[in-house]
Amino acid sequence: MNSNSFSGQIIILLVVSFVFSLGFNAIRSDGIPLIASKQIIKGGQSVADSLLSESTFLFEPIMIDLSIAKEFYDKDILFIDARDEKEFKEAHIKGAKLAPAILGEVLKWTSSEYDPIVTYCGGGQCDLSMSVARELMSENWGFNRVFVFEGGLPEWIAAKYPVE
Amino acid sequence: MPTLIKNKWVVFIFRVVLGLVFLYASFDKILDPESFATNIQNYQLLPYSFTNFFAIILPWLELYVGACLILGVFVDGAAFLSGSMMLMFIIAISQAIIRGLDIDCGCFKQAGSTVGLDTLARDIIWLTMSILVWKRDDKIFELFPKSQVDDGD
Repeated sequence: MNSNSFSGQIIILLVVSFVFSLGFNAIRSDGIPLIASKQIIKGGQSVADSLLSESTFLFEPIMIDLSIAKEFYDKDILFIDARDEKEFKEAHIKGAKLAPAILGEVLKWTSSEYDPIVTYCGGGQCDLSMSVARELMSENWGFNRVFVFEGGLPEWIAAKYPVE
Repeated sequence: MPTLIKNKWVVFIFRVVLGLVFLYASFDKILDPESFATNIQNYQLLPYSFTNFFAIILPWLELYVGACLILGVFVDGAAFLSGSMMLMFIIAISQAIIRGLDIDCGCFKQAGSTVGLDTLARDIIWLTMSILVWKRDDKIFELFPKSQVDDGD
C-alpha cells in the first residue's frame, strides 16, 4: 500500500485509530464494553419483591421493565417524573411527583434513604430518569434503592395504566 | 472563489485551527468514553448497541486527525476524514434539531453546550475549512508526504 496515496492515508489513519482505541480500551481499568447493552431487570411479582427486600442494596440505579414498575406502583412506591414541569403537567403517572430542582426535597416524600424510589422520563433513549436516579444515589442524598423505569411514560400509557 | 480563502497561509491557518479543534475535542472523550457513549445515545441516531463502539473509536480518530493536521502528516487523508466527521456531526445535529431533541452536544467537554443552530453553524464553518484544506493548491509545512519547498510562484 502506498502511504502517499490518498486512500492509503485514510486507511492508515483509520486502522491506527481502530487498533489504538480498542487496545487502550481493553487495557484501561475503566474501559467500556464494545457492545452497549441495556441491562433491564425483567420479571413479575417475585422479582419485584426481591428488589424491595431489606437486604437489597444497590451501588447504582438499575433499570426495570414495565411489569416490575407496575408491581412497585401497586405497592405505593414513590415515582418521580424526571421530565420538565410543562411535560409533567400535560400527563404523568398518577401519583408521581415532579423531580424537584433540588433533589434533596425528595426527602419530604420519603421516611429514610432506605425507601425505594422509581424514576422515569419519556422512555426510549431519554436519560433524564437515569441522571436523576444517579443523583439520588450519590453521596449528596444517599438513597440506596433507586430504580429507573426504562419504558417511561409512553410504555405506561400504552399499557393503559393510570395517568393524570 | 475569493482568492483570500485559497491563499496558502490562510489555508495553513485553517489546517492548524482544525487540528487544534480536533485535539481539544478528543481529550475529554478519551478520558470518559462512557459519558461520550451517553451523548451519542442521546442523538437517537445509531442503534443502541453500536454506541459504545463508536464512543471508543471516534475520539482517537479525532486525536490522530488533529495531530496529523497540525504536524502536516497525511494532510490529504486527515483533511478528508476531518470533513467526513464534520459532515457526520452536521447530520446528527440537524436531525436532533428537527426532532426537537434538547440534548447535550457532546462536541467538546461533557455537559457543554446543547445542540442548536450555533453548534450547527460552527460545524458548517469547520466543514468548509476542511474542504479548503483538502483541496488546497499549495502544500506548505507538510512533513509527510513532504511538501514542495517552493512551487516557483
